[in-house]
Amino acid sequence: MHKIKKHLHIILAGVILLLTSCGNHPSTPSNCTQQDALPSIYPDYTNISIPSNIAPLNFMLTNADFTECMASFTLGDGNIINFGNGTKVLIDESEWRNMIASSKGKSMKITVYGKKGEQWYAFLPFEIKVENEVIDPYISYRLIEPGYAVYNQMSIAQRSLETFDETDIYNNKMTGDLAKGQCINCHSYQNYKTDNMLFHVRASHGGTIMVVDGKPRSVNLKRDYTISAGVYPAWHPTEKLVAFSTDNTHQWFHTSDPNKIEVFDWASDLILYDIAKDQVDIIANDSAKLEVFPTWTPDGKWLYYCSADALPVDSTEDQPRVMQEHYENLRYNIYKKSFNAATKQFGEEQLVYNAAEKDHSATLPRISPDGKYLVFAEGNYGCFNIWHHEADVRILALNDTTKTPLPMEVFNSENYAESYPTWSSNGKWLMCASRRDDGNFSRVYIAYFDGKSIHKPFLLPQQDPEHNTLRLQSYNRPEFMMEPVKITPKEFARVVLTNP
Amino acid sequence: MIKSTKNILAITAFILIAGFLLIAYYQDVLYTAQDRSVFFTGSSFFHETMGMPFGFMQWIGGYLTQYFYYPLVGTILLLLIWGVTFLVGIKTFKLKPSYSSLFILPLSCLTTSIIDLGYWIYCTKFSGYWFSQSLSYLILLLLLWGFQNCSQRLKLTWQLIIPLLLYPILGWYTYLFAITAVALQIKQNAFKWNVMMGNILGCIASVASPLIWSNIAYKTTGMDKIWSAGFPIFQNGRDFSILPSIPFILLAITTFILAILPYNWLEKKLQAKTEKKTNYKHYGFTIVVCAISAFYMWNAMFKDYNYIIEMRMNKALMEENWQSIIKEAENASYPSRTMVMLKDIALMNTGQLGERVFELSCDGRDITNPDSLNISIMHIASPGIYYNYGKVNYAIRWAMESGVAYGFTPYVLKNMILAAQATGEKKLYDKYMHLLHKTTFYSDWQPKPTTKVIKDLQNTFANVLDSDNNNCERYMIEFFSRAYGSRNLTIMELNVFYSMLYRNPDAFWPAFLAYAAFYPGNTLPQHYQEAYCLFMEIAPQELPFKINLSKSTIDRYRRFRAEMVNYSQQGASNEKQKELMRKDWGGTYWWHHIYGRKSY
Repeated sequence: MHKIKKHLHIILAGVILLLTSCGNHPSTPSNCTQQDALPSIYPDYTNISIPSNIAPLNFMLTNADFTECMASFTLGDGNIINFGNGTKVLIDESEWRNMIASSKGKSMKITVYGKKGEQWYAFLPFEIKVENEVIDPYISYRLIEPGYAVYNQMSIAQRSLETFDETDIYNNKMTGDLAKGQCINCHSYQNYKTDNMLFHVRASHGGTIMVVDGKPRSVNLKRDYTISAGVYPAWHPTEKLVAFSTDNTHQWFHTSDPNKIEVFDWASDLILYDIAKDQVDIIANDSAKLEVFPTWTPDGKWLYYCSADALPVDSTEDQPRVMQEHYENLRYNIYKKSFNAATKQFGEEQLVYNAAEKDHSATLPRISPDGKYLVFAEGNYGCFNIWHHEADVRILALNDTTKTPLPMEVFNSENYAESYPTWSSNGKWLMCASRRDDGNFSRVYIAYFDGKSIHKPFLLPQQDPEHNTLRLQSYNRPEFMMEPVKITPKEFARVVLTNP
Repeated sequence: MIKSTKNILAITAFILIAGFLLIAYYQDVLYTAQDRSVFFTGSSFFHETMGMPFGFMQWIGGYLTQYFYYPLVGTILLLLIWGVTFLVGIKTFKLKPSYSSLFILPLSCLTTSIIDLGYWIYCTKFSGYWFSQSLSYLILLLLLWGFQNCSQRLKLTWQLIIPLLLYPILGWYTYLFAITAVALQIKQNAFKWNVMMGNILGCIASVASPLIWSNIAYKTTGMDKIWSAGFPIFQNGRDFSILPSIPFILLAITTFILAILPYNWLEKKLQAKTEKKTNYKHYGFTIVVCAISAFYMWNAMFKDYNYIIEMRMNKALMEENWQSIIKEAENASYPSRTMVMLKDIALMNTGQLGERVFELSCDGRDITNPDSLNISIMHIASPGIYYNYGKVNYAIRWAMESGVAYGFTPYVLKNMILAAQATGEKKLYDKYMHLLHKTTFYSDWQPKPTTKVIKDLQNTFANVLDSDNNNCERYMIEFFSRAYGSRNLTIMELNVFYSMLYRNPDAFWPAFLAYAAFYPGNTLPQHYQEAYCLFMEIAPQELPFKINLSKSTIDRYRRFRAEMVNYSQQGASNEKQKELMRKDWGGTYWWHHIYGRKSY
């Protein structure tokens, strides 16, 4: 009797497994009504280019009237495989790896079917091109609720792009100081590697947490001659040097503008931190200018940054009036300075891109790994483009004397903020934070750059596509990484606790 | 028969007392509890909640808390849990019917943990708080019951296994299991070496378990959260209070005492010469225990009247039930500042602002909060207030801040939906609706359309950059007392009303003259006539047109002034005058201008 029971369990488990796997590979509906349109799916993965090492692109039909969904994938080698699970298309990771391997350098053709009532509908097929170029295996971002003044739990997380694994690099629950408040931000890496990296901890146990040659430590970057401790960082690609901005930052609220919030600097400068000497030197500190967002060229010979004319404020009492009258005139251009690593001296300021003359403001510059392209975010004014609906990502060929950005219509959304663009280490993939999904919660979008033009971006894939709707946090500062961070959250917490 | 009657008497008495307190006094609080508690159906929220120790109990607690949408249903569920807990408890601790009423004591602690929260209800960060503790306690008792019925050899395994395996589910209740098991063992087996070994190993297991689990499953959870898993610690920013945690400390203490108490001694004390007298003693003991429990619960209960009415008004605000808000305001002699603002909104929407706003008192009191918790109107009702005044960006901001700090509750989502509807942010509206519809009782909730008043208020003013400095009352007064230039009667009226609250003639006169010139009726609403009389006296103004004043207003103002002078001449202090004048003049602008709240 006991044996029968035991066998019964095994048989039952086998049947369940079989049923589950059959459920994931449904057969193509034989009798369906053809629709003259592409399917409305979320995320929108229609006609995109993807790297050959990306995680499965699971998706769902957006129209709630459909009770079932099925997708038929015709692979690059001609094989056909179907997926469907309720209203979602969820693809097994190992099967997906085989699918993209057999489609590498070619396109997969996908036909989506939806069932409404008893009737199946077939939509026009779309293609997913599997590029030969791979993408860096990891990205990291800060997960934070898009609050205004209040913050609660937040984490800097790393995500494998080849799977769905997401783990915390560090979160502000680790040291038990949530009640007193602890903000963590500005994670940054040297050359996409994690043995030299940093992030800031503000408020409780505040300081800059630096990992140097794989060893974490806490650093206080505030000097009596700087506006603040280091803020926006940029690791020199080869030397143990980090350029930072120092900022006196404030925020105000729009009473009815859709942008809702305005964050801006009353003052900002640039500094260079020499890790070996624990020395802070000034790069730029013109009080009439607001210098911010430093970034190095891949050869380390140039420092790019943004600069704007400071607001004409005489006193703290005068700030509200000045802000009210001038905030829309605060416009940043992109400049560069040469750098001699041997002497640690910077050259004269040179204008790279004049956004102000177009009544725009350019922020967050990054140079492509081949040194040929500059990517940045551009809005109508100010430095906080992530809250500006009109903000878009631009790419400028540095050898283009007309300074005309490449066409980006396919990349940018209509009237939703795109910001914080970054290049993958091979320069073939561009990533940004975009609020296009709902206008409020920023998400990571990735697009292929073929060396001449940008392709349609796709949303960071999730195991459950609905996860993007249900997660009530924004993805902040997405950064590519060649490897995961090796220091554990507990080790970081121990270092953070050494700060007073 | 008599024996079971004693059990039934004890639990029935408890259920009646607890049920009465919850239903008669706390219906609105229970409704608010579910409105401010996070729960979503689906695996995503489940996995998120399971990511921390005690997460499963919070998840179940969160699910059940939703039933307070119908306070009676939620209360019945809670009473059922407590009833079962009583039955399991008397079995676990082998309480005889004559003194089984003792088990009402831990149940009183659980009841008190619900009715003593006060304003912490707006700041609680424990998802499912309302049920998770009671359910965990029931599971703890079931485990102890199982432990009691094990062979001695199995007991050692039980003492090791429970803390090691069940810490992720039960959190701090595994510590309580360990020490209660020790108490039971000591009582039953004195100091046998193998029993002592089991006790020591059990305690070590309960301490080691959090450490082990923190390295297996909770690698990114701070150690403070690991050690205190599931134990309600009331901390909000820099505010910390031990008061709401006391019932849980008492719960642990009473459980330990119930486990270790030598009942033979008690039984002897309850014995009498005849069975009849013994029975009387038993009933008497039951009554005394019930009375102690009732006394404790009643005294620990937060009984502030305004606390309840604020919740009732908040609910009515979401339903745009203006008459209900006005009715509550009519019954409130000393309203809180939140109640005053909600009443103003109701009067604005029913066109009664000028006739009744001071009659129903604008003298808002600070909240009565015996705790150290720093709480204000911003926590209680700011998104709804901003929304109804057309300050939709601020409504979004404060709903979001609340969501960030205390979770995306139905209260937050409903306010977000209303705001997204008003601003036309369709994608955001859909997202929040999708989320709200993933709850049990709001699965078909639809927002009321944006009212014309809100649209007018929203569209009248140009965008500016400013800040409310976390004070919506002062922000409204400063904003609307300067809000000149509109040709919309509602906005012009708000301009007059807030300039009256501002008490500045330079703000009042332009607002008043514009309104008076535009007002369609013959005679201005009563309170504006009162304001005219007062400001004409303290800051006379040459008017471009005649204001129709009722003779009775002028006469009353003269009498008001005369009475005031009279009390002043009698040497009455300002506070004394305020109360003496309140009886006849508390419903006038004159009284408010001179005696009413001046700082916001």
